[in-house]
Amino acid sequence: MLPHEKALVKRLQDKPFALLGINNDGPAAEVLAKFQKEGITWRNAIEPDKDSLASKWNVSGYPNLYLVDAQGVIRDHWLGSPGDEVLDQRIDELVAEAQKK
Amino acid sequence: MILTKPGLALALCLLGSFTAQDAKQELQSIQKELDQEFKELRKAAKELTDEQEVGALYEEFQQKVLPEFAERLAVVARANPGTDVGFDGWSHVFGLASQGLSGQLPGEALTALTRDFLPSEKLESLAINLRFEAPMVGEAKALQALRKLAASSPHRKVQAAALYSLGAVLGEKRKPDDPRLAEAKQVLAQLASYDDVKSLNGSSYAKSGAALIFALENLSPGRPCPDFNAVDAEGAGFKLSDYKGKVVLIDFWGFW
Repeated sequence: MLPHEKALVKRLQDKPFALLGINNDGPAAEVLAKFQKEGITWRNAIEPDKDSLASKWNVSGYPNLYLVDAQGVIRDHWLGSPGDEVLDQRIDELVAEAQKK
Repeated sequence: MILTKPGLALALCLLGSFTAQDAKQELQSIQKELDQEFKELRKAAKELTDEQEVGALYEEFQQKVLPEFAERLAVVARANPGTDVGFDGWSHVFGLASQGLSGQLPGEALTALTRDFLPSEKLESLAINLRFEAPMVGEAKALQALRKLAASSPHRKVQAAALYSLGAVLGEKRKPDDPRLAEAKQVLAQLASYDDVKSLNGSSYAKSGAALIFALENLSPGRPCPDFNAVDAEGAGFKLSDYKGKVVLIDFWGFW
């Protein structure tokens, strides 16, 4: 997923789009070091506490993806990536929809 | 890839005289052969560069090799009902559904497992996995098996796992007015009394059940995404609603 996410963030940097990561890997300092090493520039909520958003939202596997439109409505949910092509296509559709309004 | 043709007729003739030890060895030798087939499949797939050719290779494997091995496992399992060999044989057949085995055998395995081993606590993993394997065995069959486990297993951990899977299969990806969604919530509400049983993610089934109800009510496509507060890697706080006007991909993920 990472290479595709980097490309996605770069490709849509001037569009009404944001990638928000929710990372459950551990203490913020360690995760931050990994982010810098891997070149992760997009915003991530750091969730070392298991009893958190992932728990409240019943996340049972990773990656777990929610695509939300510009009005704040959930449009897609995937447990496991649906593949780069499907992701790109759905995001592009919603971005085009957001730009029309 | 070499496809070994089993001496199926010979095996059938011999079955009558099998002792339990023989049956166990027979099962293990089929499992070993199948492992070898999987190894050769992965090796052959690695040598191909064209994705379509890889797809065709897997499809052939799923349509020719898997059914043949599943039938051999089923022959042993049918001949040893209610024993460890029967359990292992049927469990293996059922597990092959997630590798792409189609046809009647996964359903037969499910029926046999929930009929012959209802008192066993080993059915916990079946109750957990049925949530994911419902599309492969058919939803009606999966629901029937889960209802049976929830109502009739003597083990609280099997009951809880079955109730959770039942709620998930009934409720996931339903429109808000679908009666199955209402039934799912009723089923999951029963998990409130299972706060002494731990679920896969380490929290109690009471908690997991409540979280699944929240997800079914609020996190389906077509509903407004619940807002959340978070703190980012730099320590700055933010909310989902800060992003109104933008398309947002929320990605629960990790390094591994």
